[in-house]
Amino acid sequence: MASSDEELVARSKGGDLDSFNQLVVRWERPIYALAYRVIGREEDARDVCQETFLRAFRALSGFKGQAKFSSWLYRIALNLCRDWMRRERRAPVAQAPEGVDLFDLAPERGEVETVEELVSRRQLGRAVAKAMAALPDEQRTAVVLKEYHELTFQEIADLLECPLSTVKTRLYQGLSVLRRQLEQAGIQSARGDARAPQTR
Amino acid sequence: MTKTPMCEDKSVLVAYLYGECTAEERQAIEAHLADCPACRHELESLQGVRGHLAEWSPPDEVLGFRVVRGDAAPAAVPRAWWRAQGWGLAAAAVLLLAVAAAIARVEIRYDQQGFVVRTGWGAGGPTAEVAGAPAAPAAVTPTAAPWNDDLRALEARLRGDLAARPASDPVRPAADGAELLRQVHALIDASEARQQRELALRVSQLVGDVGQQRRSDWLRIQQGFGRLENLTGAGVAQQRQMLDYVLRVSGRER
Repeated sequence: MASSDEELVARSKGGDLDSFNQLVVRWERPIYALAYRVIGREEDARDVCQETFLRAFRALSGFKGQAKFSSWLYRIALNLCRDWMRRERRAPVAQAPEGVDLFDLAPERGEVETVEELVSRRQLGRAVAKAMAALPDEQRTAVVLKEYHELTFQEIADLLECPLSTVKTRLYQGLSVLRRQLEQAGIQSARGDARAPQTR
Repeated sequence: MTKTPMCEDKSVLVAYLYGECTAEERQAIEAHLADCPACRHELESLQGVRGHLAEWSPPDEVLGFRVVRGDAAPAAVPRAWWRAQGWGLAAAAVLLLAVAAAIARVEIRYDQQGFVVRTGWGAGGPTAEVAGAPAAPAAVTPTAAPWNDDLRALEARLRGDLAARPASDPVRPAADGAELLRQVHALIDASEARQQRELALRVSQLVGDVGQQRRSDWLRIQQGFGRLENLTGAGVAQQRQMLDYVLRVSGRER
């Protein structure tokens, strides 16, 4: 039976390097996926992922266990992503000030591709990546954490250190911008394969 | 239909979209959606967007990150080869000297006759004073050395042993130090002569190669100049022909 994160953390604190590497094996893909979706670059996402585990290893003695180990890793990774974006100035859109319509901030596409072209080229994922890249950092981060890592609203609020209502607002705004981006790319909303709301 | 507060509060819609609402909230939202086509349409479109987001995945890379300790002992620095071989060579030289001395039966004594070094197997074999022996043995009083009696006794015993040796034992030819030195000098002279001959041969070969390469390069340069002159001359001739043609044509037109 696989050990839990808490057990592996306790053994790692005792000097068991293999236990920490088990945590690395367990969480390297989710952390990499998070960094890749937030940053949008493969090599930089690898660097962020590697640095995340290095920092976690060095600061493991300071981890008190008040939050989940995964949440702690996510926080480290998001901080590194934020530092990376500030350093590289990769943020596609500036932060939306109060009262500004987000639709006006979304970049306009010059050429519109049809659905048939996208499907024939099997690049729906690339279209989504482009749409995600058009989001402001905070919205993109909220969407990534919710859609791909299935964190709760409260967990996202704790990670991003913002109110719960702000998380919901960012999610709604992010999904709305994505909807417009995909519509401009010729991708209609796939109502048939939409995820059904689940009761938590 | 007039908008209700629920139409304006999109956070409620998001909570329902992701299923993070209580049972009571869920019932209220579903009741509203039944009467509000706009909210119903927006919910469906957001659900469609979520469906497309699932198509985006990161590259399937092999990560393989592992934390390793950084306290591994550094690799042993290889000693300089010449140091290792130096000690070995010194040990081999000492061993060689010891073996040579044992073979040559070197006998060293200091008595009334001075500092004497004897080599060889035969009794009463030729002795030779070591080169560089002190020139003042005459100044040494024979009776002052305390070890003379011991050395004489040792010599007498060795002579007796040698005399008692069977005649069938092979006796090595005597090789005194001077002879050895002469042979060594001869070997060194021969080696130097051979090296000088080889060096002279190599130098002569090098001179020949350089001269040949120089002549070849010079020939290539001459050929290049020749081609260049041909091309230039041909180009000039062609241009002259064209000019003549133009002049003829212009002259006819006039």
